[in-house]
Amino acid sequence: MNKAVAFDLLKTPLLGRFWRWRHARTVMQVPLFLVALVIVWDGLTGSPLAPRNLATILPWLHYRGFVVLALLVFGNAFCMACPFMLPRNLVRRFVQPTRHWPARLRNKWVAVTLFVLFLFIYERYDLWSTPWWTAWLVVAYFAAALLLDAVFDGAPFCKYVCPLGQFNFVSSLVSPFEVRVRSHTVCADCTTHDCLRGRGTQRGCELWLFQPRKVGNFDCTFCLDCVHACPHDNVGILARVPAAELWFGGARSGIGRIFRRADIAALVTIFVFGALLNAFGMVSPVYVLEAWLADVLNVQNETPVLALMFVVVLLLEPLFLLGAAAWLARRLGNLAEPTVRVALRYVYALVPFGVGMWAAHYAFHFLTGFWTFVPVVQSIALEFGLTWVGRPRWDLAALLPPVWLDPLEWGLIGLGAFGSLLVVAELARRDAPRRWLWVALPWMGLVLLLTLVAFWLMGQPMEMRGTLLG
Amino acid sequence: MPKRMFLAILFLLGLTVACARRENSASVLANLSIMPGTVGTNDVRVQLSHVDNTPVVGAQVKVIGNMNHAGMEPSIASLTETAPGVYEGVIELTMPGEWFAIVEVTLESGETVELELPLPEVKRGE
Repeated sequence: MNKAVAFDLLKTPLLGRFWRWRHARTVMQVPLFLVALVIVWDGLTGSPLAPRNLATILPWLHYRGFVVLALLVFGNAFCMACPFMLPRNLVRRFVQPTRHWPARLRNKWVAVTLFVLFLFIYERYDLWSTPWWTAWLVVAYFAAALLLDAVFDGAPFCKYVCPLGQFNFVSSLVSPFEVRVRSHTVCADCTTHDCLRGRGTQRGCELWLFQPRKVGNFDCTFCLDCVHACPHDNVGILARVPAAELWFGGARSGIGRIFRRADIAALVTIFVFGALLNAFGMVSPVYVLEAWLADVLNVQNETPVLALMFVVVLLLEPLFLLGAAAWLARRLGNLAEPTVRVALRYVYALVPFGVGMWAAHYAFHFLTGFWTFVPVVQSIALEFGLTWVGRPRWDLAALLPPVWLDPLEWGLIGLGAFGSLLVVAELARRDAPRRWLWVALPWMGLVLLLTLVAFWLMGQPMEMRGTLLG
Repeated sequence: MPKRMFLAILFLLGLTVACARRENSASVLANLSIMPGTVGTNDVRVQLSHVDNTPVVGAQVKVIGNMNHAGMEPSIASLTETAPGVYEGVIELTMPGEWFAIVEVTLESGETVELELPLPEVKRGE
């Protein structure tokens, strides 16, 4: 039976031709690099008020909005055009790192820690309302990428460190496109493996994903180095069934078996429960809870209160919920393997729900504040004497009428939850073909519970104070 | 080529740090009060004076309330002059938290002045 040929974006007339060009990534990176410079400049020298500064508007509204949009309709577009890699790539032309990333750190634990730290700092220091700190965060990102990749070979910053990249890697598991080989037959005859090793001055995959054995989007930055390195023009950006890789338990190049990787499972857990926690930080009940906790702990400082919330929501709650669902699934489905193994496998089923939750949250800010960059740009232009831009239109903000937002958010969460239910069902069918419903039930219950929590969160009145105990 | 690009990036980074911003000096002073300062409809009152302490009369005044969070819908109020230099109106504050106001003043001469004023923290309504 002939397998249907998947739609290949690299074979489309305009995009395909552009992406096949060797310098396409640099061309995409340069505008984002310039935007990053503007963010740093405005953040360090401009208004300290968030809606009047591009350092808070562009990263916290537009970047996040475009990232989730691209992940939903395409794939890992931000890593593809990552501006942090531009100076790093230039430095690599002069400095060739000789050290290897330490073997003990070749996992996601550092990234998981940094992801949690990022979420914590975001809440504790109100990054969303602080242009100055946001600017320094961007500077720190450039410095970290530059330093690490100047010392260690490959792309350890992307693979093992970058929290934004990890967010994109997990989200892209549900993306409709992936970079993969067009024909495995061609790869079978290949002896040079240029997609991994590189060819001449063209790099191979720096995240050590060997195309013929690469499965899915995890750890793929869509840098297209493999596309340019392949002498047989056998790598494309192919359409696929979104989220289907979530029930693939086999070995993946550069990753191994994800169902046996506790570090990746932890990353996914933080991704899913962090989506709820991040939204919880914006609604009124969080202030009531924080005040109560501060009273119980007898503290005035926000740090221990927030730390306790993080421990509960990102550690204890997932341990209990995932553990209970796995234990129940094992008992009801008569599964032979340990509870931990069941949890390590089914936690991936929560990814679509997590993506839906992040997308709903980011879409809200993106759509309510899309036009807010206009008056800020006008204001900056006036500073430089460009009066033809007119008075700043501070009344500009929303892209869509507010009445559209609730259905859109509920739709995104519902779609994510539906995707999670499908993945649960598929995993259960593979685990216990005859008792799959019994295996699936506890996990479906968990998905529904998280969905109800998400709907409750979205229904709460928003409250935006700089300090939670303020 | 790479060397030139590297130097260009260094130059841009230098510019980023070096570019200082121009401070605007206001020709109008404003005193803003808002009651009751809770979520919902609020009375807003702006008293405007020139730097020589004379009231600003006959101006068109607009108050734009916004939260110190990028991406929030601003609240807008057009004020009417109720006494020389005193402008009043109502503004809808949509959620509790930290707000600030931009007061846009169009003077009789046609000159426009923009002032940025902090608001007291908006509390939850009854």
